[in-house]
Amino acid sequence: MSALHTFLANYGAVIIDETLRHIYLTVVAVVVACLFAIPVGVALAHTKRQVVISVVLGSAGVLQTIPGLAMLAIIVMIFASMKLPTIGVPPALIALIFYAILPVLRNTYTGIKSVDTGLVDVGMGVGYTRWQILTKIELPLAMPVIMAGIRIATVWTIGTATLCALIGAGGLGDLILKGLRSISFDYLAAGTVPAALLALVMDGLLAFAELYFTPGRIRRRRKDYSAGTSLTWRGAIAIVAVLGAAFGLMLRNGFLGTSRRHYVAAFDSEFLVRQDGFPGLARLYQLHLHTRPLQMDSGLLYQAIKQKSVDIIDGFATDGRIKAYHLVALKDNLHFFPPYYAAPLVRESTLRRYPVVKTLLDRLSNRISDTTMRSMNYAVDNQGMPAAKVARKFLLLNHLIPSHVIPQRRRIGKIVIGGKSFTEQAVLGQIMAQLIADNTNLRVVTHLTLGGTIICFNALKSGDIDIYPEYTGTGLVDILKRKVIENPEEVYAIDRRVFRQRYHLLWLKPFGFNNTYTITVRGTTATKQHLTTISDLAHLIDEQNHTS
Amino acid sequence: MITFDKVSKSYTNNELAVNMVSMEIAAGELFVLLGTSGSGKTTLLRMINRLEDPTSGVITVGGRSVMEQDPVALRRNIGYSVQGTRLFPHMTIGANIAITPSLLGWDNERLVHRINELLEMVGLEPDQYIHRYPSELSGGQNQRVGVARALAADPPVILMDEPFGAIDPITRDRLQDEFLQLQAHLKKTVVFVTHDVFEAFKLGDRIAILNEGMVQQVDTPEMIASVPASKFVEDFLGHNRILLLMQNRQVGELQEEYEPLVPTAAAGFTATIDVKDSLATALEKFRSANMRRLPVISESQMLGLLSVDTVTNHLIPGDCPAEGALK
Ligand SMILES: Nc1ncnc2c1ncn2[C@@H]1O[C@H](COP(=O)(O)OP(=O)(O)OP(=O)(O)O)[C@@H](O)[C@H]1O
Ligand SMILES: [Mg+2]
Repeated sequence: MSALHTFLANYGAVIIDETLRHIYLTVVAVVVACLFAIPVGVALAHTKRQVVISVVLGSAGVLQTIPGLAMLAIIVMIFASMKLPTIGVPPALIALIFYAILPVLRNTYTGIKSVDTGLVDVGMGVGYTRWQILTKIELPLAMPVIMAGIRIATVWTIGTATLCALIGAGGLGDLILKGLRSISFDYLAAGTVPAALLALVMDGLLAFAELYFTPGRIRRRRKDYSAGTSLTWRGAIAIVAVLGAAFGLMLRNGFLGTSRRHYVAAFDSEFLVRQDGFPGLARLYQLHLHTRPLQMDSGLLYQAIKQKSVDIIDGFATDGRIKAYHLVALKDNLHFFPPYYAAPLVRESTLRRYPVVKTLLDRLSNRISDTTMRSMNYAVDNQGMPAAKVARKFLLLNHLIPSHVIPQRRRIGKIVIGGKSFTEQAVLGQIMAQLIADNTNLRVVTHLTLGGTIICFNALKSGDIDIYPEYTGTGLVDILKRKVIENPEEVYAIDRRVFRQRYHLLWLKPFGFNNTYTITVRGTTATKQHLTTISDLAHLIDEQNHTS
Repeated sequence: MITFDKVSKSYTNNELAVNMVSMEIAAGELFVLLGTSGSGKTTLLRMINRLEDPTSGVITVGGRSVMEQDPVALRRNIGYSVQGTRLFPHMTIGANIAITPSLLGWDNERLVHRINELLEMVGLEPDQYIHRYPSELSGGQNQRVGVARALAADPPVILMDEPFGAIDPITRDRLQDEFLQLQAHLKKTVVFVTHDVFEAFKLGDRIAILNEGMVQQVDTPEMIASVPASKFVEDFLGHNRILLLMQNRQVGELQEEYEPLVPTAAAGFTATIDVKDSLATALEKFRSANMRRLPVISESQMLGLLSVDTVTNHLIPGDCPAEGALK
């Protein structure tokens, strides 16, 4: 009981907020899909051209087979090529609308088709016009089937909408992603349970609406036999009411794009939940953002700030895009972030079995400077080079692998290299993998798109992977939950000692660069507002809040 | 009121569902289309309110070609009870009946009054049935509502496609009687489709017999039964013909052959025959009274004696008297 109480105290407000967003996404997507699919379905049911029917239903069917994630990706790409905003609600809505179309379209078509043609005939006989036949006979009789389609579309949309958190559209997916990134059951529950309940409630509401909209379902003692309010009018009024309510809700909660007097921040899901991430940062710097920061995949953050959809993001010191996009990393003047020197984190047992791995990885010690890492990240992120190729170039340049073609050899044993799902980890993972593969007979397997710190760390502990690149500050604050320490050597020493004692994991020698988190704004913003430190930003935000 | 001039209709295939039909239906007439299944009765009927358009030929209603009239307005002025009586399952009985008049803009008070009137007319207690849905009525009750719906807007022309098809013989007989009474004072122009010879002969002022889309004969029931126009009509009536003749001729037609009445003998008769009785009824009375002669009365006045032989002589075609004597 008290557990539930604390849970609700901690997450109640967020759950309500994200649920409202989720409802908004779902309702708007389904209503828009219906406004398109029902008329098209009706038209299809009345056309005699079989070709048109096959083409339309077929292409709607193909649309449906595209996986949700891929659909989102395709929409984002199309939006990017059209110079439209690639993050936030609009692209998410488009993807959801595409998804909701098929069930409604197909059910409208079959619903109307299955209306007894004899009744349509009688309808003409009693003197109905074509339109009256549609609204008074065909639609009412097809209503249960159409409503079934709308219910399917709604339940699907509620599920698919969780993916929209990846592109900063918010919703309950935000909480689920946070749960995944931090292996936090609380977050997972806070996202999943409301989503499931939402699906049940919406389905129930629609079942009730079906009862209401289908004449003859509820016994009404009819008193007025003259034309009266027809189904179409009632339907139109209901749709307008629902849309109006949804928009009103959104306006009240400021979801429809905050006024640009206030800065909007967006962070990746890991930064939002980490000890050394946003919560601690906001506390230390007294950062009172007007709206809760958006959550989106780290790859999309730079795109978002460049397009001015957001104003503040979390960046990495070694990210090539900071320079490329004319962004400025603000100075951490209160020393919130610990040093983040990257180093291979390895299982002790792996090194005992294959001592050569340590010898090889030690060769990387201090070989990668901040500049080197940044240019490699830049090559992948901005020049579209594969991480494997960038890694190979680096290894060849430093004579770490033989330059001649290595003949196929029989491989024995197995080393699994992991990495978190962002560019730098992919490059580091590839460097380690190729270094080992080209200098030994070991078989090397890579898993370089694991969800985040906690997922990588758990995989390493359980032996699913043998090595992954980790950052000293992350080890100290995020994994060991210690206080921030400024001295890099001290951090490394603590990490080494505790990880070895507690987990039998070894920190090898650091690669050389420090990839600290940075709070990043656009260069133009920084110049205009005279921002150099995070404290400056905090003051500016306070000013904005006061003037409004 | 309704005329057909060389009307033909073919659906997608080349066969003619209706083949060069020309005929006229007078105002106030109960006109029956009779024929076997697939003979084109429904097609002919549906061309009147433009649910089908003729392939060639002209149909007029009220003097104007239907092709020149707005189909929706035309249909609102023609009552139509469809074959198999399909009521709208999502509307109450009352709402089903009210459709056409409400489309014509009647106010609610008038509509409610009309629904009640019609339900009573077709023998369904209004209070009990008005709010029910069609699925809560029997098939026969549904058919009666179908008839009521066709009559609802009080249209001058009514098309009825086998309206009493799914009803048991006793109820059907009653409904037919009620319908005849109704028609006697409503005087609508009714086009009535049936494949039941007895129904056609009982109801029809005139009957058109159809075969393979072609009209074989258009005439009064008596003429069709006594003088079939073709071998087909003869075969179609078959062994029912003698029955039909007996049912469609009245004793009064044999007036000239009554035997004079001997007043003293009157006391011995146990039954009497009415001049309006059909020959069939007369024969039945001879049989049940077990007598060869019975007195004929008209409004309790004795006209003479009729003998069995006179009746049978008339029914044997070979002995048929000259045309004039029949009418
Ligand atoms: N919609 C249609 N499409 C094609 N052919 C049709 C259509 N309706 C009727 N026919 C054909 O036209 C012919 C006449 O049909 P119609 O329905 O007029 O017959 P009917 O005399 O009413 O028969 P029944 O007593 O069985 O109702 C039949 O051969 C039938 O197959
Ligand atoms: Mg028919």
